[in-house]
Order: sequence, then structure tokens, then C-alpha cells
Amino acid sequence: MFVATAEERMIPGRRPELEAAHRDAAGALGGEPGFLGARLLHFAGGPYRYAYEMSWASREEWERFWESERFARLREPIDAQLAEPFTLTLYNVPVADAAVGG
Amino acid sequence: MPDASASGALFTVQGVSRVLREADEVARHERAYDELLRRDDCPGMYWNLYLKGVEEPDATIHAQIWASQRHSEEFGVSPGFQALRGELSTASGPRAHMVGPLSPGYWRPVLEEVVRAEPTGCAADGDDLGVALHGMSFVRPGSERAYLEAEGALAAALRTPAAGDGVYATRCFQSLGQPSAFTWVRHARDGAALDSTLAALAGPERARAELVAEETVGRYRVWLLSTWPGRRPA
Repeated sequence: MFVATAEERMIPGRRPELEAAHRDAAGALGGEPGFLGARLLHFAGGPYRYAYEMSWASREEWERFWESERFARLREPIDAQLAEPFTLTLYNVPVADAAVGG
Repeated sequence: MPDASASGALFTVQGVSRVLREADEVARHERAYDELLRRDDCPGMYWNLYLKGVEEPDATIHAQIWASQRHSEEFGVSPGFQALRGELSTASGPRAHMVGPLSPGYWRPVLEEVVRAEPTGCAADGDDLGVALHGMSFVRPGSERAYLEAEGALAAALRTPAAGDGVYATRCFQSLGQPSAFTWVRHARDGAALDSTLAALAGPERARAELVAEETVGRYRVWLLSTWPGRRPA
């Protein structure tokens, strides 16, 4: 398993728009080969920071999506709500089907 | 020593910013904001503080303590605040830009030691509200409890005769999203009183500082302080 996380800082006041854009993105991601799931996290220590975490079956499948036009289309409505470019961080999940305590 | 966290889920919002507009215009907005908080339909708000940099006059810190995060969020979507926000947004460009990764940030009050009654009001009215030493401290993960104990020891030392009579209060807050981050404010009558107190408390201050991995400290004048003790949860 492979996880890609986008750290995002929104434009103040855009919370409804940003969260709606992520809901739409989650729907579009559903048909991507290798896509396992995504969730939007809101920073507990302040109003403007989010992390969008996407799980993929493999790095290769993530990279195919990342390099496609579909990724740019997916990001466009999200990025319009951000105060600065997002930071993408990639993680290998070292244990198959890893879960806390699993 | 009163522990603010014991009285419920108190909630603090703090913004550290650099002001990008004329000081007079910013001051008007800050006073309008404070006036809004004075209204009776603003439950849960009981401490509103503005600090202005001594060395850097455009450096501003705005900190508030609310009875809970819910109270703060309800104020954020209230018609009065939204109208004020709309008024500000009609002016050209941003009013200020935030500084640092935890600004604006959500914090939990973890220590409050009021040694003597703090003056409240606004410096624009001629009120002399004193000075503040403000810090943001990142401790080594795992030493959060030790840091809180060190802050507690420092607060207790403020009540000893050695501390003199020039310090009003100290408060410490812990980040709700990054537990190894703390921010604190020590409020004194003037710079000389602050200096003499800090010199007298060198021991506990050294013990506190030894736990810190990274820290930003600045000296500020207290520009506005409003409190509504009756709105504080029991």
C-alpha cells in the first residue's frame, strides 16, 4: 500500500468551498485503478490547515494517476481555494493492510 | 495555582501577524472588533488581548480566550462578525499576513497565574496597560509535562517577594494540534519591572528554557485588553 498526502493551507473564509471541492474529488477518484480511499483531515491546531490523504494499492498506480491529465483536473477546483501551493508527501506503508493495533 | 484547564474545555485563538496597513486604520478595526465582543450576545468570550511589537511596531499578536471552541466558532459565523469581516474585506488588499506555522492557531489554556489585577482598556484612550513578554516555545516531544511543571514553578515564583511587585500575570497555552508547542504571555507594569522580575526568576526561567528545542520571544506593549469575568465558566 502507498499513501500520498497533500498538505493544504486554505484562503481564509473558504472552508465550505474547499470541503465541497474535496467531496467532488473523492467521487472522481473512485474509478481510478489502484485507488483505495481518501480522507480529508482538518488540523486541530488552527483553522486553515488541511491534509488530504489518499491510499493507493501501489506507487506505480499512484504515479500513473499523478502524471495524467486527470490529476490536474482533480486538483484545479481544490487549488483555487488554497492560499499557497499544496505540499505533497509520499509514504510507503511497510506492513500490508497496516492498521493501528492490527 | 489556578489551572484554567480544570474549569472545562477553555479555548484560545491566537494570531501572530505583520500589519500591512496604516496603524490608525488597523487600530480602528481592532477597536471595532473589541466593541463587537462587548455586546451582550457574545457569550463565552472573556479575554481579548492585542499586543504591539516594541522593536517592530507592525508586529501584532491577537489572543482571545473563549469558554469553549463552540463559542468561538458560533461567534465566527454570527451576523455581527460577518458584517465586520465584510467591511474589512472591502478595503484593498489584506490587512495583515500571518506569521508562523501555528498562526492563526488553536490553543488550550493550561496555566493562568494572576498575581495582581491587570489594567484593562485601550492604549489609544491613554490607558497605560504595561508591557508583555510573549513566547512561542517548541519543546522536545515527551517533555511536555516537564515543561508545564517548569511553567508552574515560574508562576509560583512570581508570588514570592523576590519577584517584586511589577508583574501582573503569566499565562501559558498548549497547541491543540501540536502538543509540543506552547505559547505564553507574561504581563508586567513596565519594561523595568519586567526586567527586574526576570532577573529575580533566573533559576526557574533557566529550568524552563532548558526544555525548549526552539523558541521565539518578543517584547510587546499591551495595546488593548478587555476581560469579562462574568462570562467565564464556573
